[in-house]
Amino acid sequence: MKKKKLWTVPFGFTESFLLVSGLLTVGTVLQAAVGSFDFYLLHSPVNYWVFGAVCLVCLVLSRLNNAVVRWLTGLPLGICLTAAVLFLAVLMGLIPQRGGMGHIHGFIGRFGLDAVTSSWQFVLCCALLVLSLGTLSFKRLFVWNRKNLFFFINHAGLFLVLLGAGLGAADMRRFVMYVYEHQTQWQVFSETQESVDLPVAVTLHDFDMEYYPPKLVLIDRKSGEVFSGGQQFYQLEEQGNVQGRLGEFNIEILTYYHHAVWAGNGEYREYDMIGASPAAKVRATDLTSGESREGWVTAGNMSQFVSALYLGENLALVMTKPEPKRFVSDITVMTREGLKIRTDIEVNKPLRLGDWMIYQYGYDDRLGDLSPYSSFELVYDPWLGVVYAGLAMLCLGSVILVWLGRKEM
Amino acid sequence: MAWNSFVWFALAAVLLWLGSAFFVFGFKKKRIADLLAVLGLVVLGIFIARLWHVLDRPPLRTMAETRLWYAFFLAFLGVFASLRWKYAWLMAVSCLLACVFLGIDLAKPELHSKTLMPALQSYWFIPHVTVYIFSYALLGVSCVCSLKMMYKSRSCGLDRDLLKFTDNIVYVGFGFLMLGLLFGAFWAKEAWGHYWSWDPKETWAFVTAAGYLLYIHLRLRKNAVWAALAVLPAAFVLLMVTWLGVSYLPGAAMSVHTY
Repeated sequence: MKKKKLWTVPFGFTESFLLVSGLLTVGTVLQAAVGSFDFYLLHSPVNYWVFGAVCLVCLVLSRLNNAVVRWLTGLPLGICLTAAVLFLAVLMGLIPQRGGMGHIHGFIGRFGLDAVTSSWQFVLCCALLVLSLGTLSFKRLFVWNRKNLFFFINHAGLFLVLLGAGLGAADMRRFVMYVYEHQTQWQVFSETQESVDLPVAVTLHDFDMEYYPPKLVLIDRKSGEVFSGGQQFYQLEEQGNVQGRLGEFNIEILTYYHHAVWAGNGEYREYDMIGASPAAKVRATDLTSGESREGWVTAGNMSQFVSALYLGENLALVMTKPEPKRFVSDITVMTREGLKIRTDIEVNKPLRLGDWMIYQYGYDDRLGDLSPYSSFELVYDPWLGVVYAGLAMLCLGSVILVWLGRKEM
Repeated sequence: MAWNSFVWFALAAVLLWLGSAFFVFGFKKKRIADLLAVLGLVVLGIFIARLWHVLDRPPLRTMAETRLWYAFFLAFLGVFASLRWKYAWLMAVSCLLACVFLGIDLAKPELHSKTLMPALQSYWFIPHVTVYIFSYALLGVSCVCSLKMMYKSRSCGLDRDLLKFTDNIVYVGFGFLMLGLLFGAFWAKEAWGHYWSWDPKETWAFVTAAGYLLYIHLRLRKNAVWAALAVLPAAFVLLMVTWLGVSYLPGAAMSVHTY
């Protein structure tokens, strides 16, 4: 077979490889010359126009049947672009990314490798990929059969995700709002710590926290380091599990209160109030000498003392700070349009309000359940629908892939 | 604590699986090998169920816990390949690999606290992690297959049946990999406010998916079989970076995926 000459149609692997390399080079030069791509240039309504234009261009291209379109929708370009994006993503994975904060001088910063997603190399590769995927999807859409349907679901899904996420990045806003109990707030701080008035206001009625029962550990009294011989911790439980081993000691839990307060004269009593902390009355018996000691152990907090059980000169039995199990805010959300919703929000259970999502974000870590405020993250993303449509298609495509294997794909 | 008994369960499973591999390679007794491998699965399965029960949460939080599942799924796929497609050698290799992962857990047991931080308390937690670990096992098997095909290429040429099997395993594995990634995206939107933040773990998950996408597309070209097969071990290295290696990379300090 006669070998095809370079740059004669149809373009194959070599041409695709050279063209994608050229694109990366152009991107690198642009990056060095003008700096990172500014996604803000695409902010609404520009992104809606771009979305329409890209879809239209892809539709028109898909109806043409010339060498350029065949190359654009062909396997060689697809493979080369996948490899290029993979290469850039590996760089992103190896070089710490600055995520919009500060600048790194020198080689890495100059070529945008500390912020790959907004580098020209990445943007150009993704743009060509979107164009290729869009044209390809429309092409298959017009020839209707089972195989093309599966193909369409996967490729059009990725097209929507890339295009929606890329264009949506320009409109997306994230804010953190701090609200004190029984107060209403509509001011937030942007990522650059500027104060902004929002069309959404939040009233905090109550903030509540639950904790896991803490652990007991042995520490070195001088260094404070956790003693690491044998079993490393003893997990307290609200009921049951009263005996165990820790290092060379047998541990017996005589009393455990999940919510306890200092009662004076060396004792704790059970009392469920804000600022209460877990407390355990423990008997520790040294397994070698048979000697045993007894006393209260608590981790303490802003309103309770810390108490430890000293075991000889070197060791002490202490309680770890209880880890949060759940933190929840009882809030009312109001919009300028007069919408008013009262709800509980917590981690993993945000509130959706049109294009806004409101998340439980944090509280005063030092105070725990004594925290006088709760903080919320407010995320505005009007392009979420487009991206989720794409993600749903990819989900369906993946299920089909699992179901059929290579048979019909 | 259930984890204290791990050493006994793990040793039993390892011995059964080593025995199974021994019967495949040493005596060519497939029936006995199948039986031993299944027994190993049962032993590890009982341990995982006990751990789940005692911890009162799905044992999917720490790296050591995910390795348990990986060993289980790997051996499960091996048994499946042996019973369904008569690939006894694949079962043997899967069982040996599963032993390696149990070995890592024996050498490096991590603290198995009962607590589950609020961000992990989600209905996405179990599907996200199990689907991922299952896909990792499938793609691990595909890597073994590609290595065998490349190793045997000189003497026997290309094993067409095995290639077909590998293609299927990669398609199914990639499907699960994508489901894990997508479930992760939906979960991230619920927990962290954005479906994709290019967190180091997410970046490497993307890299891994792109690697297998490369294989799938290379295989669509008739004359690129060997190039495609060479991609599989490389993609598996990327997968290992995503799963176990990310925490050791310079960007990991910023990751929200470190447990």
